[in-house]
Amino acid sequence: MSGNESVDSHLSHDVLAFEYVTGVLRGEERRVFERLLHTNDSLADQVRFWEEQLMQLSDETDVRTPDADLWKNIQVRLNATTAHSEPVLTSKSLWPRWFMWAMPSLAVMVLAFSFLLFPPLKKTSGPNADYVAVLTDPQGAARLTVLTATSGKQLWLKWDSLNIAPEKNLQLWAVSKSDKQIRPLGVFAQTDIAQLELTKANWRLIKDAESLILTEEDVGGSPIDEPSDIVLAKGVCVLLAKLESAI
Amino acid sequence: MTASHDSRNEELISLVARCAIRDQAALKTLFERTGPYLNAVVYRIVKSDDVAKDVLQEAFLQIWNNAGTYRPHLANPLTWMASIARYRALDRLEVEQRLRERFVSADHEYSLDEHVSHHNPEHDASASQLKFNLHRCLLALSDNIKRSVELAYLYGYSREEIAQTFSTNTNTVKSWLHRGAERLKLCLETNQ
Repeated sequence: MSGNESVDSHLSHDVLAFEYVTGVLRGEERRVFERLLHTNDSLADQVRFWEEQLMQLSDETDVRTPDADLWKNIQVRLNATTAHSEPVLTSKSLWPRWFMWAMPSLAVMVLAFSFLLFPPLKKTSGPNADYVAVLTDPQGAARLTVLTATSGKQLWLKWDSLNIAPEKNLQLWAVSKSDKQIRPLGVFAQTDIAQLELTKANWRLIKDAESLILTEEDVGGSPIDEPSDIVLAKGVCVLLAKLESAI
Repeated sequence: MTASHDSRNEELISLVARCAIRDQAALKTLFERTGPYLNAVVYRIVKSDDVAKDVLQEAFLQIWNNAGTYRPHLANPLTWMASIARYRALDRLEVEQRLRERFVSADHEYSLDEHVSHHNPEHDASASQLKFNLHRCLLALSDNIKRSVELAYLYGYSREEIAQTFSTNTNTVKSWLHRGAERLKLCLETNQ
């Protein structure tokens, strides 16, 4: 096989995708197919179909412990790469540098994150997100991801390992872009709430928010409508529609 | 999908997401959770611990680098990671171009038979409807086609190696696989 045309014309995309995923496409055939794959969405869909189906051939309980040094080797490679290029979240606190993160790069990461954290495997069942914020703790670990969906009618919440102290609640706040005021969005007694109906007022708060913060408060929320000093997590609020058109 | 399977998926998705924002601790957890499985996937193909180690390292670096492109609504996280690991293992096979002797080994033949015998659709149904459907559809294929698919996917056999295993020629294997792909697709779509 010598070019795109030959790969494309001999067989149906289905069969080619099957051969690619099983691994019997080798050498130039494979490379030609991979080039085609980058520009052909329908072919990529076929490949994903076969990847998901054939994955069922392998037994997930069939495991083989990797070499003891392997993680260290990976870490060395990562650090060698990132030392000259990109920031890496480590156990060192990123808290003081929070809002110094460049907005555009964070926004892109948040966008990626938002697609990742709501995991429906069917294309139609995910929230059609408008705004998103990933709230991370002082160590940089994500604690809560917030999405507004269906044009501001619903708030989607993805909690992550966040314990509420006895006789305490969590409260979510919006920090306004326009007047920098912090206003309450909701109080949570438990972290198993995945969706909330949004009032019009709260929807406006989110649309105007530059960031969201999550604090620990007494039961019922802050009595003075101001956040306590116990800030558990915070994150920049990003409008997805603008981002998507910008990417 | 079972609740534990969903919860495992959610955990993996979150970990991949954190890799996208460059959280090395997340990659380490991902490595701990999936490394033994992915290592088994890779080892079956490359048949060498040293090579598997190299391949798995490359695979995890690619998972790290590509984490931002992963889309959970398009692929199961473990499938996404296993695909990366398998493709890197296949690349390695090509680079090395070395003769593998495994398919003439009597022990290996035994392990293949053993592997096939584990595919009990009723048992698999409890684990996953997808698995159940695939195995039901595979059982509807001729034994040669079914085993060719397994040898290629699980063990990284080329068409030529499959042909040697069945003492036939490469064109016959091509034809088996094409027929297998068409019939499997039809069966899987009918049962979806």
